[in-house]
Amino acid sequence: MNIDKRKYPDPQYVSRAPKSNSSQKSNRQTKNTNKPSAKLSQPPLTTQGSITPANLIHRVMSKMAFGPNDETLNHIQNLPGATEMDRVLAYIDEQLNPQNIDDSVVDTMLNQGFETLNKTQQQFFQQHVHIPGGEDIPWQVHIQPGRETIYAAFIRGINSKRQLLEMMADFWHNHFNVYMDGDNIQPMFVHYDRDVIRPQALGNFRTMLYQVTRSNCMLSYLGNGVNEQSAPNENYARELLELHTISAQNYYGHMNWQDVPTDGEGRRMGYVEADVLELARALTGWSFSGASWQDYQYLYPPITIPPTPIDLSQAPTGLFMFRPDWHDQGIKRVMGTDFIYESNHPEKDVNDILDMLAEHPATAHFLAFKLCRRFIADDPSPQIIDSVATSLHQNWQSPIQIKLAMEVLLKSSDFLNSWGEKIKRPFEKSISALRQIKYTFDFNPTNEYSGWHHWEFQDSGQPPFGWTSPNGYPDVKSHWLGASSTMSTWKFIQWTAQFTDGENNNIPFNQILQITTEALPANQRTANGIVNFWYERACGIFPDSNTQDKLAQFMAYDNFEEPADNDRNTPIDINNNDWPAYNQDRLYAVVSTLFLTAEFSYR
Amino acid sequence: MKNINRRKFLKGSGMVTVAGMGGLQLGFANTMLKGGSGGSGRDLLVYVFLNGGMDGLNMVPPRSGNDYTEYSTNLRPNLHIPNSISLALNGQNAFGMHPSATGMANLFNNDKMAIVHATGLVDANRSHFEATRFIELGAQGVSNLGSGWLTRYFNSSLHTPDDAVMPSIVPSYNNTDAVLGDPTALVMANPQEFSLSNGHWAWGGYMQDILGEIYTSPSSLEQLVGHQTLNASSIIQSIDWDNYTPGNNAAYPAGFFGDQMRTVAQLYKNEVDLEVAYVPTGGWDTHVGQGTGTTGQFADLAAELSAGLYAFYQDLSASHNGKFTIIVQSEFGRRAYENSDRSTDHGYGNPMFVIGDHVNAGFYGQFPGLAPNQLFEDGDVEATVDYRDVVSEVLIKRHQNRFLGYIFPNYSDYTPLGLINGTDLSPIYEVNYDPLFANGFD
Repeated sequence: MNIDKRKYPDPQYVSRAPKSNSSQKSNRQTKNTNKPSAKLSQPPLTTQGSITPANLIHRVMSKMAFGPNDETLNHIQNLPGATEMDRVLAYIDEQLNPQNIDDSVVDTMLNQGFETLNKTQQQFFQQHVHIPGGEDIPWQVHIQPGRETIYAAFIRGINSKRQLLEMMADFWHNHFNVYMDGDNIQPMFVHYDRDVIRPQALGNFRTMLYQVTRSNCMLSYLGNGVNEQSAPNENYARELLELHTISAQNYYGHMNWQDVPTDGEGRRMGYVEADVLELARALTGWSFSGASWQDYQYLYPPITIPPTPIDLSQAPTGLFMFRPDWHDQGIKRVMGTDFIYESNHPEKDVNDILDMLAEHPATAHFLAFKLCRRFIADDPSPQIIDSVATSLHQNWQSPIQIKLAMEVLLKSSDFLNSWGEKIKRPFEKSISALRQIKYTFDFNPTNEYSGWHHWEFQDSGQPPFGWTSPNGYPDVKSHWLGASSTMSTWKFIQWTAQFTDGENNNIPFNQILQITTEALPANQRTANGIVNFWYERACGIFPDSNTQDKLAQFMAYDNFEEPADNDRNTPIDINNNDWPAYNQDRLYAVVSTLFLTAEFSYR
Repeated sequence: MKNINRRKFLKGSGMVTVAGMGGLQLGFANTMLKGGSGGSGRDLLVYVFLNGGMDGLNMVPPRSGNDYTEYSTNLRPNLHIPNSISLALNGQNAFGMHPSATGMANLFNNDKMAIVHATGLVDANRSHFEATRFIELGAQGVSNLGSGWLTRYFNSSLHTPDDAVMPSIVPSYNNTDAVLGDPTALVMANPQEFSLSNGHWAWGGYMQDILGEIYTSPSSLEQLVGHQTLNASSIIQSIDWDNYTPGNNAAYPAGFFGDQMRTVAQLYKNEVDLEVAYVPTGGWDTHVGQGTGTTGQFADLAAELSAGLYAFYQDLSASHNGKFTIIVQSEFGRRAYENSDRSTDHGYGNPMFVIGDHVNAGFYGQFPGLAPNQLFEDGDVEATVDYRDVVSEVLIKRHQNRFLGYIFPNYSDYTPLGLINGTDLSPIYEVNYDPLFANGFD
């Protein structure tokens, strides 16, 4: 396949968003044209203890959801409960049961212009990967399901009422990371999202693990589709132990399995190199229809007279396929336990191993650690990790295992009180900004603007499903504190906050004006009033004096050519957008600048 | 800083130490922990990666002997470069240069370029995705590596100044896994886009100014990164990108590769402590329509590559003579036999090019031969040189970084070819060797 198109789209053909809608370009140079001092010799401080915590609801919404929005704030205020904490706990209970939350707004949006979201796994394979008969598939068709999954992620992040479910889906997508741009993954991605990850996001880990193991997405990505007993492919077996279950922390290297310490209940506490090979042997034959060149031999029937037609019913389907002749039927010893193949239950040996791994306390601890790192802090306390781990372990066979563990996590004081121990990654930061401004763009796949959003977001460092390595997007502050990703994310926010619909009278897709006029009576729409309102709304705290000062100064400019330090308590007519004040455009600019501050990046 | 135990400081601030692989986070570890400023004037490494599998056999075609006979008669009757048009390379007549790669031939004949035969991954892999990933991550068969080889290069660099503004750039629309895990790498196809230029035409510029004032005195990590981002943006915006006069009247070719190399040159000259530029290019996957002689896809690619490399050499040697090295490689070569489209499919062994004033020009590596029994798996040029030997020699001799086992996991047999001059250092292969404390901090 010519990889040229995939990796190097000709920039002329990539629909990138335009830089400015106006034909009037300002000649104004930005002030910072002198090369500033390059030396940053003062050591940075840590944030622990030095930032103001946001209010309770803001904290909770920023961590268990993609940030607060008006609708949710109103909803929480109207929940039963004597105190704000009671109402927040009620909200948590609701979010733990997404099946009871009506999400018809999202359902409607996902019905506009989307064509692939309801196809079967086989349809994805036979319409977007390999058409029976071997006809060429145009590139746009090939990638369509993947692209629709990306747009759906934006729609859900911004609009879904089942915010916790969305955060969990994002978590599990990273835990069981599959790089969307890998060979033949994009066309299958709706299936991976819909059938493998989302159903068990608040359900059962063992079940999700099983579905992952059978999905052609994972089998393709980590090479298990071609794992055959004469030359086992260890890739998936290794990640299954290292990244999905027991974890690299419990890897004992090239030690003898007998030397791995046991816990009080007879379990080996970790795995060794030999276990990887044994697991690889167990996973031989665990393949899918379409993984092997043999699956395509139907295209070459024997040459006969009259000719034998191609039998299209023999075309590969992409579905899980156990290949008995590939499967190593010997005993596999994994972590000190022998697993025996049974010919009348050929998948039993792998299933027994999955049981062992899913039940193992090391797995529970690893998952708990990652969940606490996602929702609470880069370095969560051992106590909260243990509590969540205990819950996961005790309920390992329950269909609501993950929900129960999340209840422990979300109702802990670690979760309810921590703040600023995490920062928003590019996707979270962008979505939370778009929720703040009630972004109305519908991400309809047939709308050219959707592609603009996709490309504009590509450089952010966190395009959905775009992490190449099986370990998923890093979830610690230090990875995301970099200039490239920061600038790109800023630009995306800057662009969306003033993006207007060129097909519809240049109506903006943000609702900043409406939000401001509804919240503030005309005489309070001063520079200070506007900035204070938006600041508290976006950051959940009383404004930092330096930030407030600079943003209010900006808001008080009434002439873009001659900005002056005007009075900040004079009401501004934000319904007016005439030259030279351009009040509305300035309002959008000030609000979007707010989203680029350090305060807005905390969660 | 002197009174603080560095390990404690790192742990306390939540940053992982650099020993070990996977999940490495650079962030500000480097900024804080190098002792005093190392000063500017570091050598520049320009690493050009040809995505798609460059056809080395036509880029450096045989010119004589049995190899030429096989090449022109059996392997590529319709696709070979006749020795009447391939460019002569001094000192030998076994191999020549593609006729469109005049700049590269000049560099070789002026003793500025080394050509290494038959390089490759230790285990052949003909999947673009996999082979490229292995090379970008710097390891084959080590799964779950959360960092790229350049990330680990910087992580273990004892000489990168602590206040380096822009130590590494990737002038590309796509990121590369070579800088996976390094938040300080600047991925920027068009430097002029590295600014808050998506705002309203009247107010967008003010956003950047106001933001600069908001971030003016950073007192937290989050504020520091905002400050640094704006810092980098100011530096980039202060460079006069459009009015650039390359040294020696060098003429960069039209097209993206020329732009990329010119961007690197301009940035380097603006003294932003640039140390590594990773320049990915594409289009080399010539399964169909490869073309032969001086026409067709491959000839165009060769011309562009050659002109870009040559222009960069000319440009930089005017003012920074001896301060830079260029390495050029691809993920694999192409099949020795032409295919039914008079083009080529994925192969294995492939030449690498190293360019610079300290290079010992000439050919290196043992060309394995093109006779049927010499080909790899019945159709590819065999690989006889581990590509890491080539890269490592430059890292050690020009960049004084010898933590090879750390940069290239599982690599333990560094064998310098002698293709470049510089201080030789014995390699360190231990993965957990803690490079930060290697030169004896408290």
